[in-house]
Amino acid sequence: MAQTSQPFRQNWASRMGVILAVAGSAVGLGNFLRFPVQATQNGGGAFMIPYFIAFLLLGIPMCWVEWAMGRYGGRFSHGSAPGVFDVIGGRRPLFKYIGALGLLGPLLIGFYYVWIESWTLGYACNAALGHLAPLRDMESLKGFLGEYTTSRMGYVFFLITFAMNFFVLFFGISGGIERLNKYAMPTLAIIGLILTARVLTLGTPNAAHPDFSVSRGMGFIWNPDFSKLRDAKVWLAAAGQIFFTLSVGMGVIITYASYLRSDEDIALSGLTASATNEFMEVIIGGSIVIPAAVVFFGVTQAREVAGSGSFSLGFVTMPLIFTKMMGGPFFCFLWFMLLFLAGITSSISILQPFVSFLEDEFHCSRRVAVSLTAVVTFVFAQAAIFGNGVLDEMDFWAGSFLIVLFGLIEIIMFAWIFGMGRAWDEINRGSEITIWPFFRWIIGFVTPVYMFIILGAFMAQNWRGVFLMGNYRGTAQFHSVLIFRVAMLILFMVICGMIAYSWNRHPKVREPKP
Amino acid sequence: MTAAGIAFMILSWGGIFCLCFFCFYFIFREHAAKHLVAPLEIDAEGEHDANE
Repeated sequence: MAQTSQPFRQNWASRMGVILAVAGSAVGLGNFLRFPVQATQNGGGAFMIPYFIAFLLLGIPMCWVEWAMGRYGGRFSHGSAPGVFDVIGGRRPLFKYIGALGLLGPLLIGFYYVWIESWTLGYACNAALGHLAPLRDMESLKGFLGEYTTSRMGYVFFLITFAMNFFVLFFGISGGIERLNKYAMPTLAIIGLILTARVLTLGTPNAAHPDFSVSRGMGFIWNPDFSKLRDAKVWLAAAGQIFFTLSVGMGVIITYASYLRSDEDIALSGLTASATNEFMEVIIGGSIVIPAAVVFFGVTQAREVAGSGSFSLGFVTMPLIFTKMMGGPFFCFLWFMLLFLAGITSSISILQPFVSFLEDEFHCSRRVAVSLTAVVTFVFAQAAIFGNGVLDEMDFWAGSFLIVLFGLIEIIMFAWIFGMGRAWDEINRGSEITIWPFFRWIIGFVTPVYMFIILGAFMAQNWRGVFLMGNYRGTAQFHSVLIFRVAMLILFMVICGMIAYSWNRHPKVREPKP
Repeated sequence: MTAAGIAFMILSWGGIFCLCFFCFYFIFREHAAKHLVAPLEIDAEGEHDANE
């Protein structure tokens, strides 16, 4: 095939911009809703032992792998997983089709994530207008959530949120994504610190219950229960939390890193983005929800609340907590703005891989690529909004299974197919820090084994109930879930067809940018 | 909150703060280094030649 000259590709305008963008992609609702629950249910302070071990052996290596793969693929003008896997795999025919998983995953997540994100915007507006303040018990807040998600107002907020996401994407990498994150991430941090300070200064508001205190609340999340460390599920939960919180395995970091210049540092940048995420998760996320729940409900009820799920925690329990504190409506507004900013910085990153795929592999203009992505996302989002059980299905396949599978494939591709020698050189290329040599051994052996164990445990836990649809037999959701699974397979085949068409019709860059 | 809980919290928070400080220190140090402006170089030899 004839050598093509390098087509124009966008670049990040600044170092801090890409770091904040990747951190923004990682910081999401899970930082504030999932982590505190995982910590309290899996040994409290003792949970941090497997958590930090997983951060060292799984999180950081996977981040560096994705940053390096993305930057390498960008040298060949590939900004999405099919193209990146193609060059990483030495242009052997199979790998670009495996890379289709790195498009399917973020697409599926994008179909429902914007819908959930729109709830946070809607709730923020309702909080600001004082509509949540009169709802002073669990039942009325649960009823409000149920009504909101089926109401016209909820759909209007979805349209607004959807438009905001694609408005940002229209302006591209530096003009849209980078600019949003440069404002959104510091704002998110400030709001997080305000809410943390508010919770930590609650004291003991209920004189009748002196044990309902901030100290007790922080103790609930931090007091260690070392007996939990003997349970393998706790180690798996910690590894899973690290994996999900750093947004690895979604093809997002690959896309963002593809817009780096070929000699820009990735080691320090990747470490910084991960550290920023950990700050938002452990320090901010660990200091808001659970301590506040203990202050107002006590440890026993807080334990029930923690087990009720992220949606209930974020949209029922937290508004109820804010009704009980001074300045509640203001802090309730801040809480949902925190979630909204965390959501939108993540959702634009989830939608960008498909935009990059259309731009790079079909030579579409940005406007056309963004418009096509918007149409596809909008159509399938209706299934998440109106389908019975479809949202949970999308979340399972994309938000749980595919990211683990794709993460495992990534590290095998990079460490074993590309070769650990070249992989190590690529990670260190342009590096502004000295990466400890033992990470070479970790990336090559430890992380892949860790990923195998997570995937194996995940499959074992969900084989009968979910994969074989045992959980759905006889339920009202069975048919809609089955139809969705067929549609998902068709979508995957369509993506593979697009890859085949692109590789046949559009010549690919053979020589990398220096 | 027990002493062990306080210890775990301080160690975790401390570790993350140290990591963030380490990362941002190097990033801003590199940023400052790239923006350093070298002093102007005056070609004294050239002026001497011109005066002859």
